[in-house]
Amino acid sequence: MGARRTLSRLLGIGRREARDAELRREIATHLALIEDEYRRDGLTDDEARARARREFGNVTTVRERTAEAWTFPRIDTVLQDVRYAGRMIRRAPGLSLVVMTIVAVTIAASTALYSLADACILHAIRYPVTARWVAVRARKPEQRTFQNFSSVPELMDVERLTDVFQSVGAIIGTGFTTSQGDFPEHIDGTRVTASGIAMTEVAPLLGRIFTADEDRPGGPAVVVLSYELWQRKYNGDRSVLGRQLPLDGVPHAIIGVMPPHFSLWGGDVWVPLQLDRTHLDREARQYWIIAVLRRGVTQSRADARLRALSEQMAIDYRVTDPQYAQQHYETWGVLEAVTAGLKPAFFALTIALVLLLLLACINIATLLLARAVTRGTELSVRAAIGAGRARLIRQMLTESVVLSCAGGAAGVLLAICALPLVFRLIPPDFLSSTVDPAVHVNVAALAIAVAATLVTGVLFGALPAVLSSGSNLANALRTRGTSASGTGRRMQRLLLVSEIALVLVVLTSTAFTIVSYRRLQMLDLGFVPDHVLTFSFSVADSVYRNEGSIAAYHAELLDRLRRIPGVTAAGETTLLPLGYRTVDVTTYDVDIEGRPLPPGAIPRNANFRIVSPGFFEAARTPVVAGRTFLDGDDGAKPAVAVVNETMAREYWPDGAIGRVFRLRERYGRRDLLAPVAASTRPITVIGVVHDAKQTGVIEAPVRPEFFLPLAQRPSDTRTMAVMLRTTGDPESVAGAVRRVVQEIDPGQPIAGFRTLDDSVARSLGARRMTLVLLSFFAVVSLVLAALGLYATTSHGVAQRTREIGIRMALGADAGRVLNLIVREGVLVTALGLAAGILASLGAARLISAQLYGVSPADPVVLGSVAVLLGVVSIAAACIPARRAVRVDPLRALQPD
Amino acid sequence: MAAKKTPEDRLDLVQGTLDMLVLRTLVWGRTHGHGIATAIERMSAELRIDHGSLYPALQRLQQEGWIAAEWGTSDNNRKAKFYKLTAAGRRHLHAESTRWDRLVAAIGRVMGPASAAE
Repeated sequence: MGARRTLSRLLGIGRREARDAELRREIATHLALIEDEYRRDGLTDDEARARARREFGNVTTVRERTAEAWTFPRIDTVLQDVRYAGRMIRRAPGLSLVVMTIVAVTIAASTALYSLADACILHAIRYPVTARWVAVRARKPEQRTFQNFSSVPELMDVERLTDVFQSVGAIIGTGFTTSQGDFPEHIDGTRVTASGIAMTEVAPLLGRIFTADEDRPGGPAVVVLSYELWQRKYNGDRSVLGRQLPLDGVPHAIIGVMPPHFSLWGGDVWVPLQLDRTHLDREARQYWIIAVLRRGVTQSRADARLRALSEQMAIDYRVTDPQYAQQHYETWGVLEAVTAGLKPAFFALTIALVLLLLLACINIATLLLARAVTRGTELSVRAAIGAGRARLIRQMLTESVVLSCAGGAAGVLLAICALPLVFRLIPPDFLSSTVDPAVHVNVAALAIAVAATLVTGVLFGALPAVLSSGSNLANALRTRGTSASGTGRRMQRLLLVSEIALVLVVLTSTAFTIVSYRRLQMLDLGFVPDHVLTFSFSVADSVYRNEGSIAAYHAELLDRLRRIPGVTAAGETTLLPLGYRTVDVTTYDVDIEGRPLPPGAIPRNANFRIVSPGFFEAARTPVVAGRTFLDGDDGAKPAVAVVNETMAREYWPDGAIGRVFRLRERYGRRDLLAPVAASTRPITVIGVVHDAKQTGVIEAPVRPEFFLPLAQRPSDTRTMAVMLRTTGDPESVAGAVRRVVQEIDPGQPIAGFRTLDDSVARSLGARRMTLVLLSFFAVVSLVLAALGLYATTSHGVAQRTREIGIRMALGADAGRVLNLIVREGVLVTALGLAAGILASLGAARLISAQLYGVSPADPVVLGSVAVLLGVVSIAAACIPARRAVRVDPLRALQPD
Repeated sequence: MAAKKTPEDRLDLVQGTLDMLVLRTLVWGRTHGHGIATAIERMSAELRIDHGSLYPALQRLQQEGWIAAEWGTSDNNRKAKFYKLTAAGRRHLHAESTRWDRLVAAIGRVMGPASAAE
């Protein structure tokens, strides 16, 4: 058999020496046998040996010529095959081009997408310690929340767990105002312990990171810059080390620059946290605890140690800090935290990639089989005139290799070119500083894609030769033009059916994603995101020393902003809608007057924001009952609050207006808010507003939330966000806003102009990414399927030209011929759709976590996608069928 | 071996027929390379076997699975490699001889009158 011969040749390479020795022995025997005969004829030993040698001929030549049979064909035969392959490809350029295109597109698409996913998700943080890097937070199971921030004594408790943690540090995100240049500039920065920046094990590009000695109270003011800030602000000047950078008016010595894309809690500058370890207030929680696990220590082992610690704390502080009984510490993988939103997207992407590869392979196989059916006659003729089967298989193999390699080369080129384009599809948030914008082609992905397509190409290219060489030559010659090695056709049909089924799976998954995205966009957010500009700012402690001056600043700012032409409403808030991640939300435990809790019960807890008059108008959050804040709701008046519908419903089922509550415990970042001074002060509910999404578009359910007026809590409003509702493009008022802020106080920086629409889009970023990528796949796969069907049907028609000619000569009309050709396409399509719907139901369950507001078995979606695919595939079959109708019987019946 | 002719007098093989002849000689049973060469020469009384073609042919036929080889002892007690026909080889030989017969008949029909005219 051909395969066995190829195999024996391959193995022959290794066994060459042994075979040559055996051949030598065989020839020696042969010579001896001839000598025996001459000796029997009466010759002497010497004469017999000489004549035997002469008769046998040159032993070396015999050995060399025999050895040729063991090795691969000589290079000139290979070249001849390649030349012939080129000729054959040029003779059927359409089909060859289609195959090459499929190979190229598949390789390019899958490589580009995988490289991207790899850069975004798998290697979002490329630090040596990434896998062992964790944050430590307190879980409050009964309240279903987390306390992410810890106090100094709590940090010191965790630091003692040296058996599980290699290193522990504290970190806190912050912002600075720098006054270099003409304008005050806002820089995002991070305060971190020396251990916290050292634990990443990333070496600075320039200079050094700060030492433990610099990281103590009263230590020197030093700063490490990000590569990006160094480039932007200092044009990459290497003499920057030792220069001073003023942060909030304090000159900081620049001691180091980190490498590009280094990210540690975001920000562009890192300064020593300089923790006061004598500050033993357990309630002063304002730091993230970060740690690196010891080598070989699992997260669950660390969690077990933390749980034991938590239980000990609950006992030790049961009097002073009873809340320890309701929480326990746990680790949270930093990489997991950073990439959590992208995981489902990556999952969907992987499935789509596998499907695409599978689809491409099926397609290539189908097309090559179609070609083989036409080439059957040629093969038979060549076999008849004496070409060995091995030679034919080798020829077909060479053709497939040439075809696949041409496609593969194009694919690699295309992948390199396409990568930057695909890169633009990704929401910028996912790329911010953690990902190298020059994403490199992932070599492993490229290799897999190339291997998969090439193997398929070569395999199915050579398969027909193997199959056809088994069939009877004369028979194949006789049936010229009427078709049909049964095996080839059946396999072809099976491949087409599975192809249509696969495409349907890709299409339905995409359709479900699109539908659920549309549903999400139509969700009731509780605010109207269009035409809103937002920005944030912090007033400096040094300038606005007392509550009166802060309140006056806010009042003047709002008044001036409202007078900007095109601005219809303006309001301030401590938290923008969707502006913060869940982890930063601040909450209060509250006491409801007249509804005391039984002793030992879990306290009621609600989110809260401080907002100015005009906030609800700017957000267009509907008022359900009562009123919102007025300018008169200031410190001189009784404390008032507006609550959301959920809080009203849960705490005051029979009407909230006029009811009273008190604040108790607060969770969240202490540094942003002043300590609770008026915890016993009664707060009266004056209004109920519609529920608004708090941290993200998809969050269920909305938590109870209350709003306090800015004028009654000015000390908590040093950092505020402003929302401006505009009549036109919100970005167009940004210049006027900047001028207004400058006029009031030339030293006041503002950060981050952003539209609310943008925030909504960011909240849906991961889903949008999935959507865009899936749509891309869906289009590619639909095109592949259409190409496959078209090419196969075309070939079928070309191959049945003579049959069609006979039928038409015998009186078949165009309709019948059309029917003949299209019937097969319809049958294949119908079977494919049926199988595809079943497979889609299974696949939809896999992506159901990504779906919102649509059932994974929605008949309307399934039905419309099936119809779309059906129409496309039947159309693909109809185009060549029209050519069949135009067959001229006279020409069709002429012999070639 | 008195009947041996000098090599110069003998005919060369028609190209592509050596494989068929080798298979044919093996129909009588297993034999070694020398045996095959001798058998063809003796039976044809005309043909000359080039050993430089015989051994590659034997390799080829083995790789196609038409003949199988094994080491054995010759009549005069020498270790020799013996070849025998496989079932596939037998089928192939049958197909080839049919084809050959037709070819010879066809060539004969064309050549017959010409040689008669001579």
